[in-house]
Amino acid sequence: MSEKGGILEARNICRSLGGTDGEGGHPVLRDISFSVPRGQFVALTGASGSGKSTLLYLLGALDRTSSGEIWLDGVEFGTLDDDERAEFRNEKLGFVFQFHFLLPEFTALENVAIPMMRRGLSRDESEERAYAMLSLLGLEALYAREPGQLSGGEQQRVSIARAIANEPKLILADEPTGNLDSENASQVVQIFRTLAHEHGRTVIMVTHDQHFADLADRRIALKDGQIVSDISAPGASV
Amino acid sequence: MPPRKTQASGIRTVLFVALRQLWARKLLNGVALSGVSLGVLVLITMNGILHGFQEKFTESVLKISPHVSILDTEVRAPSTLLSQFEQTVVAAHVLHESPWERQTRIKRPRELARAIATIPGVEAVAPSVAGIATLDYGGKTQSVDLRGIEVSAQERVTPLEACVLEGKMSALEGSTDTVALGRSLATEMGVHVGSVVHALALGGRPLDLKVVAIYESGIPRVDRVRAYTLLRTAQVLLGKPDIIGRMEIRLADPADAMVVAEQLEVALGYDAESWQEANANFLSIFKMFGTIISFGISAILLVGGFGILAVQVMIVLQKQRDIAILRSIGLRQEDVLQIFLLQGIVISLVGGLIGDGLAKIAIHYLAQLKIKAEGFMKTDIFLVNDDPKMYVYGLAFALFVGVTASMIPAWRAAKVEPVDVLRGQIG
Ligand SMILES: Nc1ncnc2c1ncn2[C@@H]1O[C@H](COP(=O)(O)OP(=O)(O)O)[C@@H](O)[C@H]1O
Ligand SMILES: [Mg+2]
Repeated sequence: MSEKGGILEARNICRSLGGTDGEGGHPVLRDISFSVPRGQFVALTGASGSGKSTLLYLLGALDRTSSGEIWLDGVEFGTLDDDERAEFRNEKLGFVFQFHFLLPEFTALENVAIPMMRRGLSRDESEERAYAMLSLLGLEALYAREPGQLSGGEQQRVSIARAIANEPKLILADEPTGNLDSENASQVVQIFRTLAHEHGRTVIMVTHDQHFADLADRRIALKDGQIVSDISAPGASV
Repeated sequence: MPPRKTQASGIRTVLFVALRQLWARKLLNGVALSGVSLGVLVLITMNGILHGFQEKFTESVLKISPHVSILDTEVRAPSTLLSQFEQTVVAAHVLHESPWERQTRIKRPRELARAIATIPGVEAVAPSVAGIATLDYGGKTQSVDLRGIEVSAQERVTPLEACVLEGKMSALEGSTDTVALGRSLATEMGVHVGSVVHALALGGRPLDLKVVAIYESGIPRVDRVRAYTLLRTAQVLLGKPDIIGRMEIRLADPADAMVVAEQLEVALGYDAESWQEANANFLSIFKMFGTIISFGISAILLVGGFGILAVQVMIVLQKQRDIAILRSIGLRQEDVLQIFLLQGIVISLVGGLIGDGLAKIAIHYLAQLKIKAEGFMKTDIFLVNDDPKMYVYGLAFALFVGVTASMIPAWRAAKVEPVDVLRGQIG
């Protein structure tokens, strides 16, 4: 199932924050290197302030490294300009945040459809496919609701549907379970597992919860901006 | 990788997001929109009123005023050598020849009139004489601007017959002892057709004149102080035997008056005055009003623009998170810019259209308004011009204001860095 060499590769990335224009400041990430093959479900753990979110924004082409390279699907992020990054995010990346972050004026269906519209599908086509995505996550009955009319767990599942709308290579989730009760949380983690193992998506999920981390194929632990452990679960698909 | 459809899909997404977000904040955006509507409403109605009055004024002036008047003042310097010192020469003239002693006149008026009549664009020429006289009737004395005319020639230049309320202008030709008066003047003196007034002027011979016509031109200046007699009668009364002191001209197109006046002045050496010059003080009042109104309209539209600006700045600040989401799912900076620019355009376009509609209604009702105005023109209805061009201008203005006002918030929205927003959230 996996490709040789992996689809995501971080090479010696460093990121400093708080300085002016990326120079100087406080080093938040130091010499991070790892490679993730296709279809792997990775849990990123570490104490608060260890740099997990910062790493995720870099992997998501939302932020730029101070040094080092990030390769996804044969493209190095540093070579992309702002518009190309936007397009890259649209086509190859999917984000899920702790606070689900749905657009409040749009229905669940529309929230999922917007990335597809941006990609070039017509509105009808986008909504048709968005409906299929929602069905996949058991939300078809709620497609016409606005975020305010959905529970936290439902909102988070809608945002997962949005993240996978354009069938991205890489799904990045920043503490997606942080705001959910345990039942909804395990449901969400289960979805990520399925996406990785059955749909071949690479998933990197930040979590505090050891139990959920254990459900991943691999656990990467950060401490003060450095990888302190990188453990693949026995019997994982890699 | 699928072919890049960035442009079209970008616009489609931008439209979808922009319109929905606009609609979601109906109240706030409605306030901004009302500002624009109000601005456009005021722009169109104020301009309509200004132009309405100005056009009515111009129309009534042109109806009974000469388009160009040649006066008996010589403007050409006697010698070309001295012409560079024109000012001094004129001053020297005044010093040497007392105006009381020397009768000013237009020389060889018949030939001149014939020559002028052949100029293209000239429809009619009428020679006349003018002077100040006093009229007495029943113990009341009024100073008048007396005009001695050739009735039929004058009628072709300044058609007054249609303005006659009592009697007939052509009745002036019945005898030499006749006079036609403006209505306000007649009312003031208490005279009617058939009354005999005693006329008197400095240096001339007093005459008793029978009133044969009372006219109302609608221009108070003419109706209050003007009196017409036959040319001969005025020449006797004013003591200007055989003198022609004015030559009035009607043109096919009154808009040519300034140019024709200029040409005649150069060609003839007499002062030639266009109707615009003759009414310069009134026209400048309109001009001044126009300027004042423009300032007012600009201020209102500026306020409308600030409305859009304030509302959008607020929305951009509130929507940081949504902007970050949109960027994270693949919208470019340009797309975000367009979302807010488009909202500004929609607000101003819809606001402008509503303003157009309101202005249409306002003008409809204003035009039915009865007023009594008798300043430098006379009217009993509210004069308001319904010019389709103004609606287009109003809309264009609104659009300009809207685009300008939303430029800053849109640019700020585009500059939102998604990571900054995401880092700001607890997580
Ligand atoms: N804008 C910033 N300027 C300076 N330091 C920052 C900024 N944002 C975050 N940091 C620091 O970077 C470190 C890593 O933050 P973050 O990646 O959010 O950690 P985590 O997600 O693991 O809790 C923290 O020590 C935090 O204080
Ligand atoms: Mg974090």
